[in-house]
Amino acid sequence: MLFNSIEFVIFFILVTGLYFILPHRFRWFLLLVASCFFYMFFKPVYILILGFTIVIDYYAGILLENEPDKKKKKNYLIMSLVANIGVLAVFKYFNFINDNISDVATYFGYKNQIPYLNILLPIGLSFHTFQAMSYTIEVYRGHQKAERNFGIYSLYVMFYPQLVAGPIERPQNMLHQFHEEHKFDYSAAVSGLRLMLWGMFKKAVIADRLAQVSDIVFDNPYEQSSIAILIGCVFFTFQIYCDFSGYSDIAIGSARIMGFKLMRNFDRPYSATRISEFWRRWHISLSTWFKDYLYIPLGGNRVPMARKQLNLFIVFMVSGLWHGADWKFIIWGGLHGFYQVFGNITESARLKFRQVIGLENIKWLNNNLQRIITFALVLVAWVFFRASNSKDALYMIGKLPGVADELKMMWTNGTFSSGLSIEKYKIVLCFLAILSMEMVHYLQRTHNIPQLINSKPMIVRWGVYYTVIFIIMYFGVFASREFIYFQF
Amino acid sequence: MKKFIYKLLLFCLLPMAGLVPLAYITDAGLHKSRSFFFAEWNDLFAGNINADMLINGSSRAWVQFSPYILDSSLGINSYNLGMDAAPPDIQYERLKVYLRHNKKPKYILQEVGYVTTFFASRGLPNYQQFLPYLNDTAVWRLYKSLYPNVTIVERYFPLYKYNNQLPLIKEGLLSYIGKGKVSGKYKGYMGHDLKWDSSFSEMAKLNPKGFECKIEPKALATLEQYLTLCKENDIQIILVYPPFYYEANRYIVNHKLILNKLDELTKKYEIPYLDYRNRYLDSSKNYYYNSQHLNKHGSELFTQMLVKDLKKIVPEFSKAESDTTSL
Repeated sequence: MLFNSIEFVIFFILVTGLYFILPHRFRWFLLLVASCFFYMFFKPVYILILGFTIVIDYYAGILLENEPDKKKKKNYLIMSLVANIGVLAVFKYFNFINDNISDVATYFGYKNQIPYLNILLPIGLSFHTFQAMSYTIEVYRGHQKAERNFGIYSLYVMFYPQLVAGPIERPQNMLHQFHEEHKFDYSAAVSGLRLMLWGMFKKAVIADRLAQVSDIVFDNPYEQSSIAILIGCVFFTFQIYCDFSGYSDIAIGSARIMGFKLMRNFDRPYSATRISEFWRRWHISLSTWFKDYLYIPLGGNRVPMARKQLNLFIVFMVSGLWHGADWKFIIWGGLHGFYQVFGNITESARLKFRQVIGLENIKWLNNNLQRIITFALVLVAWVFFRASNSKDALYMIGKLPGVADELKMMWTNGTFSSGLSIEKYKIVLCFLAILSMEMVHYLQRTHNIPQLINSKPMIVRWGVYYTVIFIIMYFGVFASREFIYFQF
Repeated sequence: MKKFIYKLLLFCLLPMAGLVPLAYITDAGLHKSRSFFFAEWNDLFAGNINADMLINGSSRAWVQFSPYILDSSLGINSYNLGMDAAPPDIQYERLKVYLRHNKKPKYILQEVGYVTTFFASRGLPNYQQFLPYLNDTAVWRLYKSLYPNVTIVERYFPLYKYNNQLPLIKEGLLSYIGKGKVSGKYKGYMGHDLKWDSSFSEMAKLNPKGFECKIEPKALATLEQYLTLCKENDIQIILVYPPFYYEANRYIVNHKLILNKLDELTKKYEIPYLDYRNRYLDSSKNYYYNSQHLNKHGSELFTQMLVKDLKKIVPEFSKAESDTTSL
């Protein structure tokens, strides 16, 4: 069930209404049934995979808590992690690994005899598997008590707003919320609806509109001019942000109406002035997951410089692999790892250079230049993420320097054309959509937008809401396009 | 919570005061519109057509059969119901809607061809043409079958169906006050005054060995239902294969199979079949704007040829005065 569908609107109204009608003791059951229904709406059989990891981790949690012997405890944790990673390995990575084995075997003149699995990747598998893993790790570390109520533990993994694309929650933040009684809170309901509305705007008005252009470019890169490729890449950069953060906003908003507090997942990532800052603002729940459960166990910042950089690089490679079983995702992760490591190594030299040329003294220019450079680096990495394969990505990146020549030629001829086979007004609308979002982001730097809206009279508040709803309904793109991150 | 529900209800109902009348005026305006998408549908629903002879088919009907020439040459009232990219199931549904609102025609000239005749529809371009009529159950059913992702919200929520179609709302409002656009079609027909374009060479480059036009069982079944419906209603159907640029034949690898299937149908339903392939019009690009579509000049020459043949095979027309002036 997609958040931007009429089915979800009906589902959401029914579930939220029933949630507040039912006494507290039945609510977890309602949410569990609703979450099962929500998940089974995509493909019912997938629930069996989810059920498998839920059962394993539920019992692992109890065993971990009851076991005084540290060695046995560690073994239980390893067994639980192996089961979770095993599910990921089979459903997500098996064919990819097999593919690579075939390539290596062919290179050495052998034939790979391992058959391929004819299975579809269960939706949101990486998200709920990571959420489940964080539970057993936290119980093992003693930061979280094992949940004895099987239904509530299942709900922790399956809570429908964040089931298929996060935010990837931690048990310390979520589990106790299912036990608490949430009374209806007027301001939380309004704020939740408002966040859902903003999420829907980002998905339907911006992301899916930008997709109409970026799809043309990425699906046929060899037929595009350099300008068209640049437009496609910029649009995809905003598309993926609006798509994913739009989903997160709807998830956080719909949970907030029922009184649940989910963690923030995005914080204006394209305003980052360095890559490390970008990762503190982008997909925060995944970044912090990797920090807590991979980077710190690898040694974190308490290791020698070289080892620290290696750890960083490993984390980003794994993050790339988390996104998808394809070399392009690994390259995407590797690129971000490289940016980080290179940035750390050259930090003092770059600072010195900026001081010598006097850039450090002009704060606004310095910040904006760094913002543009960070955005450009992120954009280049997204090309690998979105392109059909690495060859296409390299071709597209190689074409980008041609933009200057094309612009020069157009300047000489006195005509401007994007070279895209799409009406000009549609491209203009895309730019307007991005601009509207960036204006909101700009306002966010100095104002608390919810507070700002609340401080206005009702006629202004409602006017704003009606405008947004009107734009979504009459200018939104509703092509049943799934959220990009569902595939992970 | 009560306060929240009351406010939410008020919030939802308040804009309806503006949206409902606006939606009503837009739909009513488009029901009167003579613009490109709606003129024929409006004629059809208003029962204004009542033609003696209908032309039905895909774009090859729409741009190639001139009712002006047919009317003036045969002394009848004809109307072209051809629809861009429409396969038989859509033609069949449209005919049924036609018969509900208009008197049945005596004759139907049914365009046939390699590409669309045995093809089951998977959506249509120009979905906008259906929007003002979604309240009609038959149109809604057809629309749902063509675009499976549509929801009832499109049918019932005011103006939502015009999502991203601001020009249509404008056209509806203007038509409501009698200032809407008027399309260049004449009784559904529109000759295209165009020269040969590059689509054929692009197709040939992409498919050097040609391609197969499948005979889809679903499309064949619909076509047979269509022919049966005509037979039951005493409508004389005449299959017409309009000219087809000769070089394009070799790119349809199974063209013989399709022609055999057409022969089979004509025998089974005892219907006349006029085949204009391999006539003089096929050999020159001057008459076409692409391999499947005659330009305006070509279509007028073709309709004149058709008139002559109709006079030969339909006794009623044999004595008609000839006036084949073009429009």
